[in-house]
Amino acid sequence: MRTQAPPGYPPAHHAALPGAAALGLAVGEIRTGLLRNSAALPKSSIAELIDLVPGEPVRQSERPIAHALSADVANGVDCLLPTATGGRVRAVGTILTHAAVIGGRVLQTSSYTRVDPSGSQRRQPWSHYTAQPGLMETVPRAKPRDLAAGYLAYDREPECLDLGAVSERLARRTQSSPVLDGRQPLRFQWTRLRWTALYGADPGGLAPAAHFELVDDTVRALSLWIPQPPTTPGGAVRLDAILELCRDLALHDWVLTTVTRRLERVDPGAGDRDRAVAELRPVIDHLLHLWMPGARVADELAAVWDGFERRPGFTRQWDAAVGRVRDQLALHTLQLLATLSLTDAPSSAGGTTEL
Amino acid sequence: MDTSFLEVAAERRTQDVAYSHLSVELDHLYMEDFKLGEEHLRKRIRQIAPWFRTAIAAYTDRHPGDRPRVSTCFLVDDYFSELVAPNIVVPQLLQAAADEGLRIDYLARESGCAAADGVELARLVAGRLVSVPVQGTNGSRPPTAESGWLSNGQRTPNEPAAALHPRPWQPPVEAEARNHSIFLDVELWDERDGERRWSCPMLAAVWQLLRLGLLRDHGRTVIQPRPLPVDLPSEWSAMPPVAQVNPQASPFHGYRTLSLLEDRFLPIEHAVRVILNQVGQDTEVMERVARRARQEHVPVPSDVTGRIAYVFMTDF
Repeated sequence: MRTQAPPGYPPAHHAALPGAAALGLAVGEIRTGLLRNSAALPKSSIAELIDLVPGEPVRQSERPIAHALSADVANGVDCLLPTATGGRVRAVGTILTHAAVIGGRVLQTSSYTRVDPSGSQRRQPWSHYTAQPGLMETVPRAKPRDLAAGYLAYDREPECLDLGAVSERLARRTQSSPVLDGRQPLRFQWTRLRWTALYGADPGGLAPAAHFELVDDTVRALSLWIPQPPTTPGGAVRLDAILELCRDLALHDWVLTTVTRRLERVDPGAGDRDRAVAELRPVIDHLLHLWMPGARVADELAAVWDGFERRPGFTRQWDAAVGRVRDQLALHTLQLLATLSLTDAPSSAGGTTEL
Repeated sequence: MDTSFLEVAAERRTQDVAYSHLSVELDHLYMEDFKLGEEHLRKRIRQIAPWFRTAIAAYTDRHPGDRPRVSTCFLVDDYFSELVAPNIVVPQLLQAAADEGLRIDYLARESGCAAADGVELARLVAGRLVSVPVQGTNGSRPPTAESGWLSNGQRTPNEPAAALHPRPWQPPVEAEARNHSIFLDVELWDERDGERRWSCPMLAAVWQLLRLGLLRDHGRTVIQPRPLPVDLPSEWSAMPPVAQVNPQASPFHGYRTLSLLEDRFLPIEHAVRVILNQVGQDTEVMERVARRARQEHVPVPSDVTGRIAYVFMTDF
């Protein structure tokens, strides 16, 4: 699979500007799917479900939608990173994985790492890497843009970093937790969002740029360029804000994909509206209220969502889908009313009326 | 209109602790040592005193400037056995130290490294272990973990006992071997009657992280020293996990630690370093410590094991 470098990627001369801060690079992969539970999971159960690190809190918030984020689990890696030009560079360090539950229903497992391409020449003692979890250092020197493009271009190459496998293991483990009742509320496909972010290194303050690609039915590729990323008061780049943006895009892409697939299965021409409504009901129960694009995204990154809203217009497509769901329901109701008026009052012989 | 909205539950606040420049551990005694009586205790303290003076002189020489803040501590093993009561041992120990011109600022009990004040410290550390990867580890397979064990590399591969074509023995590999491996496999805990019993190296690793001020529970500090009880109890469990003996002492936590130990602890400390190398640190805490140390012009090594020094004492 190959994706082109997005038009927004920084031109080469940016990295070479004297005095400019080094260009930061982070890569990741997010799985999105529905929790194997028949109803929305209450707050306390979510905290138990994604309590991954003892002594670290599960961070939960209520506005504008119930949201829970686990602490990060670290894993050690010493493997290759593909470059856009087809080369491979060795990199050593740790990757981080966390889980998020949105609306008590959607599960996201997300693995990521920052990459320092300056070249450590040799593998350092392991304590060097555990002192800074979530950072990989390349052994030979590499170019961040080259690594970013290479990561998206080569998926699941042997001997290369496999963040997806780590996310998938956590998703499986979470889904088999005894906290869940094991009942899948509706059929769906997991999606994989593979992403890269190049950030910083821009004194000019260009607007962020992003490129989103539907690679196939379940795989998406997102590349971000964020010249002026949000920072902490101390001046450190807030990678958590970039992660939040990626999870938010992955979530909404998954919800949109799942609802539109469901609508495609319901063939209105067939006329079996009872079946159509039965098919759409879980969508109404479980998914419709999840649509809140950009609600948790930092102001500095809001432009990315705004851009995607203009083209392709996620919310435009969402509104159309929701409209179709409601139309199906309205038609079904009309049909029911028509049936009722035909039979007039329920002709019950001493029985109860059930509606 | 400018509005802001905050949900406190969604935040994690990190608490800071105060630091000495150096936290010095004055030997470590098993309960058997205390059973040998007061004279044995005095002999041990006498052995430490010159090494302590030498160590402080060496530190001051390396870090000239203001007089360094040094705090001393003494760890009593009450986890694996409880034999001699604190109201007997503590006065003997403090007297022996005073007679030799040694000052014990803090007295800690080892069981506090397992759990203290409702926080299971050893479990916190065990939950942060990040196994050292051998070359080729790319995340596609789960890390090979033996429950309760941690090695410094890759074990000899398992072979089913009834294998038809047994392969020749494959050696274990130290992940960071220099030409040849020194493979070490450390037992972190065992289970007795369904209860987890932490190993001595595991508790000693917690002890080092505790002294370095790097442990937090939900962002909060763990184990703050409390004054030594005026009326010493007869049970170790009634003692504070870390008791402050000297009210004028420098802070318990140190940017660096130095442990003066008898050479019988050499294998234990090798195991401790194998564990500590594989503890994924709290990035925020690490950054805060580094920033403060820089502000005081005593920069700390970026990795944790670089902050730990030893003197292994031999009776010669």
